[in-house]
Amino acid sequence: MFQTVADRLHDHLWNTLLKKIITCALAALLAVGAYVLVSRITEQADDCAQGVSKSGGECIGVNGSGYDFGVPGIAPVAERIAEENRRIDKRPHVTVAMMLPLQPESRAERRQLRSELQGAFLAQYIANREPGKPVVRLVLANPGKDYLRQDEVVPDLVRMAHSKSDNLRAVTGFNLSLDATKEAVRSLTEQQVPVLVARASASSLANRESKDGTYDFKGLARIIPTNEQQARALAAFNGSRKDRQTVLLRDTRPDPYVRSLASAFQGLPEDGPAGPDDMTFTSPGVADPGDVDNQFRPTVNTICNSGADTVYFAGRSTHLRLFLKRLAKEACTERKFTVVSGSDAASLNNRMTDEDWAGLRDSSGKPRLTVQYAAPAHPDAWDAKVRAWQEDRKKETGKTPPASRAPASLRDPQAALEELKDTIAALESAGRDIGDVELGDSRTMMVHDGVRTAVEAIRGAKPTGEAAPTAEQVGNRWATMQSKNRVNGTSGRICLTKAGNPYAKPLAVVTLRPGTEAGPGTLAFVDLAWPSGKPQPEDCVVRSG
Amino acid sequence: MYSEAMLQYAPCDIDHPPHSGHVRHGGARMSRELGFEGLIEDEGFFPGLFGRNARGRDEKLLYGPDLPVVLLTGGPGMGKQRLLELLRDRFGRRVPVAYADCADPRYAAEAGRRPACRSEATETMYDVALRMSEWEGPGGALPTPRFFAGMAAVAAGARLRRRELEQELERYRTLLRPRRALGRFMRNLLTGYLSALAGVVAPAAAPLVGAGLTEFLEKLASTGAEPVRATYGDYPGAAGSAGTGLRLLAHDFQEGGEERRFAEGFLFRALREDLDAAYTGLGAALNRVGRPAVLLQHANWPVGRGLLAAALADRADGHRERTVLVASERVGEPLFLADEPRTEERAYYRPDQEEPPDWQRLPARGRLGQGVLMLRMPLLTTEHIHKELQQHTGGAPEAARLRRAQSAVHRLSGRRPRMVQRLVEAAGELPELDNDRELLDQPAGLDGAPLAVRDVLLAELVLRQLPERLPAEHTGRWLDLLTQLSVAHTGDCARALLRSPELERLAGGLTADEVGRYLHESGWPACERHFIGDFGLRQLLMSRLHGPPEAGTEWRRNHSLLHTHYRSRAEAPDRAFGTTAAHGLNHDLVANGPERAVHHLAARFPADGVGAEEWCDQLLALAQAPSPGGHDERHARMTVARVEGTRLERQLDELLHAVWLCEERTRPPDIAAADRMAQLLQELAREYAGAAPVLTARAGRWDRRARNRQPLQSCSCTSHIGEGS
Repeated sequence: MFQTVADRLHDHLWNTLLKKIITCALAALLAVGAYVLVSRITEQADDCAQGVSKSGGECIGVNGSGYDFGVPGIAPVAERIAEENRRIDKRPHVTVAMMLPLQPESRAERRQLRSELQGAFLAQYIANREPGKPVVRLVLANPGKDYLRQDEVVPDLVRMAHSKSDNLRAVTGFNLSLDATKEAVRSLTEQQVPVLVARASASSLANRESKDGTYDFKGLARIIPTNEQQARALAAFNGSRKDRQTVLLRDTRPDPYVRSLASAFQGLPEDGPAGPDDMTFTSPGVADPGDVDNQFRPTVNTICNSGADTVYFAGRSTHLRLFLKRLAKEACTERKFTVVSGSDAASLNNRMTDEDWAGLRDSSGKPRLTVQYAAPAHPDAWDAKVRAWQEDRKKETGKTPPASRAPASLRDPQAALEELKDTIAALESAGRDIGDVELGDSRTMMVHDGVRTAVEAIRGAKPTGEAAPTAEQVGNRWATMQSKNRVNGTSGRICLTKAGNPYAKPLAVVTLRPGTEAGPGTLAFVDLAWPSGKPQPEDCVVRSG
Repeated sequence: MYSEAMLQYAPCDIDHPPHSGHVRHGGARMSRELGFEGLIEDEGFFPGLFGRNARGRDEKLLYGPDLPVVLLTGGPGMGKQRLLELLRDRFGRRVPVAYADCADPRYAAEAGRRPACRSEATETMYDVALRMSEWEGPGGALPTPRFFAGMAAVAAGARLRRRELEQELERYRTLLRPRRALGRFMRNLLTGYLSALAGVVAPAAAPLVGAGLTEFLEKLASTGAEPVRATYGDYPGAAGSAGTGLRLLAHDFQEGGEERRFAEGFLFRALREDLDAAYTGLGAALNRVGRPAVLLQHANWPVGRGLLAAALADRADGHRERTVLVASERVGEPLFLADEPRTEERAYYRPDQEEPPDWQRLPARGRLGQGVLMLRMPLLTTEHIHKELQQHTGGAPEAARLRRAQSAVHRLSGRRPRMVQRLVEAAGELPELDNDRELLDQPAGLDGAPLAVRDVLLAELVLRQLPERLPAEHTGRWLDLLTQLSVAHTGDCARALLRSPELERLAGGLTADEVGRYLHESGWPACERHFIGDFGLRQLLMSRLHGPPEAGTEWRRNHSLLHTHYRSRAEAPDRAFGTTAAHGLNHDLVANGPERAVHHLAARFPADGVGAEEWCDQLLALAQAPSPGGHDERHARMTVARVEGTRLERQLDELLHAVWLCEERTRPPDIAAADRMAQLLQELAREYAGAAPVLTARAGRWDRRARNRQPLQSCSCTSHIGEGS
């Protein structure tokens, strides 16, 4: 009898109950296998890496296994982080997340990103080799460009905070003061995930000091002074200026950093008659030049004609660069300008090309202008200040005291910075590449200090006998970090107020000016400055008022 | 007349051994499934019963877990064997199917080799067990350890020598050959038997008797698996002891007679329990498919009857079995069930008319019939005949001849499948037909030799399917006797013929009543007006009796004999013809012509209307006579009377021939004859006012019936005619 393929299949696969059971089991197995395979394939199509999936053309999510988010510059440091994570995987650990846009478009931003991740890794590396427990696992969380997709990442982070295996206890990073950043911080803190802002300086990302203990963001801490504090520190450093000498130029784009900077500059005490009115421009985005250069043309003319020699620039470094170029190019050559700006100006050096710098020199090679800003940190600050102290002492006593006798407020950060530098050197000599480290832009130091602060808070909050503290315990820990519980950061001693703000944190006043030779500009440390005008107390105890 | 050489007695198709898978349809090209569509196709009766269709797919189980014994009932040529063989061939690869022909002479031969421990019944069962052990489909061979133990006990009790006993046991060893774990166990079991045997049969030459036999049987019972012990512990008188049960079984077998039959029945139960057991348990649920089936062909033969009765008795005793048992039975109401008192109707299934009934065991206990489902073999439909004919003639363009042939086949065959097949074969050349009987002279092939289809069919339906109880000395005259009796109407006719000096020798002492009983037992239907109750068979026999048109000596002689028989009797009521006179004249009409009949009708014509109904019935009775053969003059004589006599006699001559034509069942309906009949009756009604009401009424009724292709006088053997011919 003619037997069809269907008959043969039936005979072999379906003829008896046993065959039916085996066939069903195999089919189920096959289906599961196919499902897994297909989901893997689609995952691979939709997903960039483990925990990171495509969303709106970006790779959004959380990853700690070495994924470089398609940015080759951060691949080495991402790999080192993954290595370190693997190394401590079997030990009791907590997780600290670095939340910041991980796929920047411009070269300058990519360099900044690398610096920030280097700082995070170095802090993890150092912390995991100290006696304290628990050890730290570091993950990278990409909230997308301008933090616009933070709502896709926050749930993952909250889940990790609840997960026994992840033990996420702090989220740090936050390098841009944007509304979306604020949303992310709010969302995280509302879900009891402690947040530490390391780089964003807008005052909207800070708790106001409050006497009754209620705060906008419960569990938020920050280690960088706000824009107002920076502006006040700059003002305190420069002393009062005559109004006619200054002019304020601000970006009208809604950007908390810009807003708070402008408001700080506007709030500076000024003497004398009124100078030119505030001037404005409107930029399309943080890193987007748009037609801002055109807008600067009439502005620069006005400034030249006004007789002002100091420009308070309330804007991002992208636009500051254009402004400087325009200012140097226009005709008021007889005057030397000082442009004062906020901490974002620390990124200027990354944005300026050699050609840009050349444009800022006059025909004799002398700089036409100086950019001054309050950097959150500068690698030369502590050595310079210790030397200055030695010189001061020598002037007073005629003898140069040893550096080890310098005040602890200088020596502690100096030691921390030394350790950081030693670690960088050790890694380099061990061939463990993390990319070129440039401490000058302060990002490596600040992020390092942020992660260190988070780690210290976690370790300090850990109850005896427990492997790790709860997230809430970490959130509550911020308020107690002062005096002996302070953190000796590379950017200075970090003492936190009850609201989680840095207390009397010193800022490095730096000048950026074109060098005399071709090449990048020179960033020079000028001095330390404090928001209140007074140095941080030696005991680092937060004083009322 | 037929050729003696060609029609030799050949009991039960011995030329085709069973299990050969050979298709036994001579040279015919009829499809094997013809008429069985509803039975074997997917979702049909047998796929449901087997739990599998012919393609091996699952089918929704019909009935169960308690199953009826399916009896295929139908006379010769109804396709019982074809169906059983088809089931074996179609489903045998899908579910374990064992086919056994209970009339197979090989069983008797094998039993004869060692009659002390074998019988035809045990050989039949052994064949079934062997088939089951050869099953290679899902689940593998079905072992029959219970049956083996029983046969071993029978052999041990037969006082055989050691070597003979060992040979006998070795013979059944194949029944225990499954390959899996159970197989190993069974082999060990067998080794146990044999070593036990070796221990108890010393000295080697001595037969196994007395204490030795007891010990062997105890060993057999104790080394056997639990089910074996349970089965034989149930043997009547065993009181739960399997050893005793086996000894009683062996004893009963040796006793012969009823005891042996009982022992055989018990062995059949053991065999069915084996099959049930093979389908029980987790392993079976996982590996086995469908239901095992035992097909018993010729179950009406003594061996089959014994097995069938045993199986039915077990069911009557409350045994529930999951083994399908299908048996063939010629008689619609099997004799062994016929006289059984019953309170409810037995289950019947007519596959050509209805869906399978919702069978369930009748509540009455102890009745054989409660476990039976009688499946009446389906007749073919007109459509089947049409298709077959078209296929056989290659779609010949002669539409009229095709229709004529089709109607002839329909009438003669009564839609009996084998007859249809042969007649279609004979009608292949589309011969010019006046009377259907002419078709019977057309050739068909029997075992490769061309022969008149009449002889082919008689060989197949009569000679090769002799009544099982017909004494051997009568087998040679059986067909000849039936041929002579084909003209008989009633038992009285038949008796008269066989008592006549001309036929007395041929009868050889066989009486008409015996012939009638054998005919009935052969499965041929009865008819109230014809001794040979089947229309088709009667035509075959008449044709054989008459011979060629120019012949017909014996035909006329027999009619003459019967005419003489009835003429010599005083006029008395007659069951078939109203009066003996009419009966006698009916035969006279065939033998000597219509003159006497016409005069008789004229003499009794109810001019005044008295007795008009009876007169009309007599006219009809006379017109039942078969066509006398030779040139048919009736058409001419219904318009121009040939009888010399009065106007009435001439009118009645014409009327008789018209009615005779209308009642002719071997011709297509004759509308001209119907018209003429009505016309003549109306004429008589006009002329004889007294008889007018009855004649007018009859004219109307007969005309209507004739036009509707219905016989004027209905008869059970011709009821199929008019259904579409």
